[in-house]
Amino acid sequence: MLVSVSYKNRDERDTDFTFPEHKKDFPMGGSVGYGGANKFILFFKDELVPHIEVDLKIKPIERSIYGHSLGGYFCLYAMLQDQIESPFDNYIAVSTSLFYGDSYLFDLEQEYFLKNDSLSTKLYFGTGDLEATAQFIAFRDILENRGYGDFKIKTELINKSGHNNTQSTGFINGLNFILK
Amino acid sequence: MKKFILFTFCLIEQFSFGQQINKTSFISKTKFEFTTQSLLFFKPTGFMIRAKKEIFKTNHFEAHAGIGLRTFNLKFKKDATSLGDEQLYRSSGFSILTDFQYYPFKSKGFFIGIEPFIGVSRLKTKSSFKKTGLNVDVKHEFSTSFFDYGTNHSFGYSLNKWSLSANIMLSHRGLYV
Repeated sequence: MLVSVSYKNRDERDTDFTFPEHKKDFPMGGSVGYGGANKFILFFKDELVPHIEVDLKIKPIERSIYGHSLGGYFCLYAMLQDQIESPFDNYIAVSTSLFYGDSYLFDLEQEYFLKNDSLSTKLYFGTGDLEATAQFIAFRDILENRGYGDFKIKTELINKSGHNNTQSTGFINGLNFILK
Repeated sequence: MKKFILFTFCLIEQFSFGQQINKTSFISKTKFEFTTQSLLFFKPTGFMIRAKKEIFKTNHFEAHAGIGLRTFNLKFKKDATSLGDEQLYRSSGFSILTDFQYYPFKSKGFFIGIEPFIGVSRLKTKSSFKKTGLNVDVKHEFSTSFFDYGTNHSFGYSLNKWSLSANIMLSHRGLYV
């Protein structure tokens, strides 16, 4: 079952996909603010998932989330944060905006590593090879070399793809990895 | 959650002007254009030169076929764009194109145009990332050649041998490419 989350009116991705609040990352202007990722995780956990699984009586084997760009940031944040129990089992993060919050995800992963020796999930982590890839490579190398227990990761530089060409390829390749 | 963008505003071409000479020789039916380019919101980053031969002309329509050469050089600095990563995109490309222009008024001054193109581009990217507190320091380079196609949309004004137009290029390769 595929569930797509969008907005009825104003796009609030800058708010919902980010943590911590860090306004200077988008000098061209954002939507309504930043730093609401914890509330967005709670939306999935307390509203959307119960609606699907209780009200609609659809019981999943696993739950996976896919995000592109800032959506990829949200996926990795949901995976590494420990404030809220994540409602997701697997993650597909494509063309992730690793720059957000002075590259906060690097700090968050370091915190996670200091507290944990396992990461029970599957992660597909890809980006376009035509994008600036240094941050992707740095984060990929960290994740691959931590030696987390129960952690399955597939990383990919998606062939001849810029930031806006990775959405469908990353989604398909991510699903193929997670469902394998 | 994420909108799919099939076509991305890739480049804005500014200050385009072309020379048109109304004689009957081969060269007189050829139009030369020089165009500066800039990515949305950023300063000019490259230029394109095009040569087009007239293939069709009526009171309100003109069609040209030709070739174009393009260079593009864009550098992000960490503090300038807050992208957190120093990045360099350098590309050059060759394309063949057909240009269709519509002159809605009898005076043939104002025009709108569409220019489908197909070609080959060479792209080189460099990026670096450093996070000193975590001892992370990565530099990466990548280069590739790829097939490219899209359309260039324009509006402008012609006056005698010269015309000035603004253009938006839609490349199917998307942003930065």
